[in-house]
Amino acid sequence: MISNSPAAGAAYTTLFDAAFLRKLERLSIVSHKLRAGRMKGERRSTRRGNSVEFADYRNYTPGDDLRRVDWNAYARLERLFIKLFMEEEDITVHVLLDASKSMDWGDTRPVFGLGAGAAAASAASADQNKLIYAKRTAAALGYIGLAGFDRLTVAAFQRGAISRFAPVRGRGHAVSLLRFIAGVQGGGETDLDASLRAYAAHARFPGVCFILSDFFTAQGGTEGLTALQAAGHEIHVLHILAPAEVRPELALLGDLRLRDSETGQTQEVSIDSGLLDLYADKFAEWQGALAGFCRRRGINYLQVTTDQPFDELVLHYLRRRGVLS
Amino acid sequence: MSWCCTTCGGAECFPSVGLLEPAALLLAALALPIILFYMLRLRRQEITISSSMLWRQVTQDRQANAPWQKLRRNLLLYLQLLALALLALALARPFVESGGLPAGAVVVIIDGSASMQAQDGADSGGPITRFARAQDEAARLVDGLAPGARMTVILAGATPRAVVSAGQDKAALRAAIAALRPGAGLGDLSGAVTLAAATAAAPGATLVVISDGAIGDGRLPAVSAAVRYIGVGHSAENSAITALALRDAPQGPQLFVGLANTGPAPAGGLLTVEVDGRAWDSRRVDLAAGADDDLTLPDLPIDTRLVTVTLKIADPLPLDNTAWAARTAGGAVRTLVVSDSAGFIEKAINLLPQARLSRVAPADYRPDAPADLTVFDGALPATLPPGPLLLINPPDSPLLPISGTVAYPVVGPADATDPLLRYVDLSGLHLAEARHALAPAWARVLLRSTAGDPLILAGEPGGRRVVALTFDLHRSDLPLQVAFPILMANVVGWLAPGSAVEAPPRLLPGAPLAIHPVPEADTVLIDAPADGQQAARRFTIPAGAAVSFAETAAPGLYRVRQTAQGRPVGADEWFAINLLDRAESDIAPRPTIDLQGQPVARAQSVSGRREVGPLLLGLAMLLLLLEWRLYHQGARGLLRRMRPHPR
Repeated sequence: MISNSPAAGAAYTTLFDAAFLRKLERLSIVSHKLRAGRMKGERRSTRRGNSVEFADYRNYTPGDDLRRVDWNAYARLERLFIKLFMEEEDITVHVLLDASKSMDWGDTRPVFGLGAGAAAASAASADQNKLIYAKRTAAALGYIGLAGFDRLTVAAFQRGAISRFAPVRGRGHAVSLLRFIAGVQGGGETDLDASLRAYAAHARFPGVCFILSDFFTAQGGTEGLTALQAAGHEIHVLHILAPAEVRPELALLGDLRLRDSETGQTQEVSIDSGLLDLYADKFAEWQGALAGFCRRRGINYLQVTTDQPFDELVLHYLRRRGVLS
Repeated sequence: MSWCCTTCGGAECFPSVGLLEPAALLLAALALPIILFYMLRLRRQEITISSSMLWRQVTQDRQANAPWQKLRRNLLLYLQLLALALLALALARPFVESGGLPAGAVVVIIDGSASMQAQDGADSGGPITRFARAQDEAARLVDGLAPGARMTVILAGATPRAVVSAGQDKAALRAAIAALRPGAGLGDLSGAVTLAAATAAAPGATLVVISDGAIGDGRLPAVSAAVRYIGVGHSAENSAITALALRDAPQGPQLFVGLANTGPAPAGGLLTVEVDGRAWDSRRVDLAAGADDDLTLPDLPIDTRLVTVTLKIADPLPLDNTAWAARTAGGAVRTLVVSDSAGFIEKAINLLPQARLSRVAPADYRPDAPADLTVFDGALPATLPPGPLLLINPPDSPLLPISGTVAYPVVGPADATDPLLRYVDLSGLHLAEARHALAPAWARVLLRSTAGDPLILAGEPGGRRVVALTFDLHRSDLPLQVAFPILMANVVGWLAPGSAVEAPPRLLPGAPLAIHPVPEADTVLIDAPADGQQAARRFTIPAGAAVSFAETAAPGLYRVRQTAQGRPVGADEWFAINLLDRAESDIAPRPTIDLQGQPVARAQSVSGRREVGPLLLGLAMLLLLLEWRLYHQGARGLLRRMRPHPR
């Protein structure tokens, strides 16, 4: 259970409330692969173990525990067989959070380059800020993992570095998990490929890996995904975008100077319907390339826009897409 | 500067357009500084976005021509440039050659003659007359009237009449034109042009004549204005009764009918004659193309009074297919001679068949004695009777001042042109003595002495006819001359014609006529016939010495009845109004009209220039308003509508 201390409350209430946490406790992360865990858990393992679920027979060899001999089979066949049972171990859940500056953006109010009256319309809307949305999603996934007695690792790629939340297991780490995630601040420029490759190299226990990012990186992030997959991770890509990135006409129109939040580079554009059409084509091409890569690699790709209600995403959408059960 | 279709001159395919001030198009060069300012002063708002990665790819192909890329698809700039173009074009004063007229005074003359009633056109509502077509053309001219221009509308009827003078209100002009009605007589187009000349003398004035051109010899007075001639009508086929006369012959009344076919094809029809409302004769007449014919119908009933002749031929102008004639039976003239003794005058008057003579001594004379004519011989009472007077050797009076006598005056030249002296030869007249009369203003002197003394005077003082002989018949040899009974017949016929209506043999529609009621009548009732434009009407006129009547627009028979205190006095009299004009019945449209040797060709409509600058200015203002609205509110909604949301 979550501690009711004020500090703990302050940690998670910035992300979601206790009622929502109780809903999360009924969910579990789906792993489509049987993996050998490290500790006893609640998931079927590739190992044979001591659970009550029958798995197979094998011939008796000297030294085997005679308590596992199937004496009924011996009575019928006069041969000794050892009964094998399924082993239930834990899995490792990796939640990788892109905390670059581009993720700390999201605004739904329109900005027109047509007059001074629209100049003030640039404050971000917290509801649709991509980083906040990603942090809430990461917290939910992490809490679901902890509640399922899975080993959880959370990593935030930030300012060229990786901040890790050490592998933990059990609900008792929920507060520290939420505190860690709440403390993640967006900033800097992140090389997603390098970060993912570095994480893949250091992750000792491959498992179910969630990547929450906008994938606004020049390299496209495919190399990092390839490295993670090579390390044996089962990858879910949550491509988080703001509505104004999908349909820029919601926020941008007219003569503008666009400043890149990560690099600070500016780009002068006169946005009209023709340019919007061109942007739509480029966006579809870019997003289609990422989705196609994931499809070919067996990576579960989910595009999420921040105008999608967060609880609907976690409680329904991810279940329908087989990420949670 | 103008341009139009080169194959047809722009007259048929589309109206040509042009510019009155083409130099104003140079203002369009202001587009360059606008574009320059737009490029230099383009204010871009800086917006921080998550990543410009995609935008860099999007704008990559536009970076090569970045300065121009700023201007592409910029709606506000386009609106400003379009507004500038419209402003420059409006200042260049573009015009459209259409049915309009140039600015300035416009005088429109609409032919109101009888031929304009020819029904040889048609519109959506059915057949229409040439006059209706002329009204349509005039209304079109009103529509095309340039702003500030003034239009004068003149109806060229029997008497030209300015319907609207220098009017600017188009609605009033249209209403006035729609209220016009054609006449049934001749149209005085020449008088109308003279009337228009004063208005059309202004610089830039235009005179538009809307007519079928059937205006006699087609020659009109010259005017200084530009003249346009809009021709209406196309048919030349018409047959008409061009002459009608009812006269007394030894065998009885006889009727003369003149017919004409002014059309290019032979025509035939039934000629019917009604006498006093009863059909009397009917016969078929065939008229060759352009031929005239006549026929005489003798032996009409001896008591014939009214005759109606109808030529039943289907032609565009039925107006001239019917004619009327009235035969006046002269009544008795009650003549009262106021004299001391029966003399030459009494004998001369007794010879006149219509005269009913009576004589009274001056001492016994009373002014209220009933008489159509009173003859005062050597005497004149202080109170005169109301009727006509014949004064012989009158004493001094306010009516004719006398100052002594003249002995043996020598007769001078006579005014032989006066109807009173028709067939009267007074060259052998000798006088022993005459009154020295001073010719009053009302009198015309028919005969003078060589010394200038008036010997015979005539006139109408106060509407009463008076003839005066300033000498004593007994002291002259006039009664012994052949001229004396002729003079008396002329004088009595003029003083008391026997008929109240004094009408010439041919009375055209609209022509005035004089009515001389009998002295005891107090009211004259005139019943006018109905025609195609109005119903039968009755005019009630207070009787006087003479009544002038001009409400003769409708052709037909008019009845004149005199009453005294509600009772009829004498018999009814009739007179007839007829067109009977071969030139007017020749309805063939004329290709030209002639203004003092300058022919003006017929046109279907007047081509004028209509400026469209104000319209362009209005459009420019609308564009600027739209630009202002877009500037302040953005074009988001507009673009949303232009582009559907992606799913």
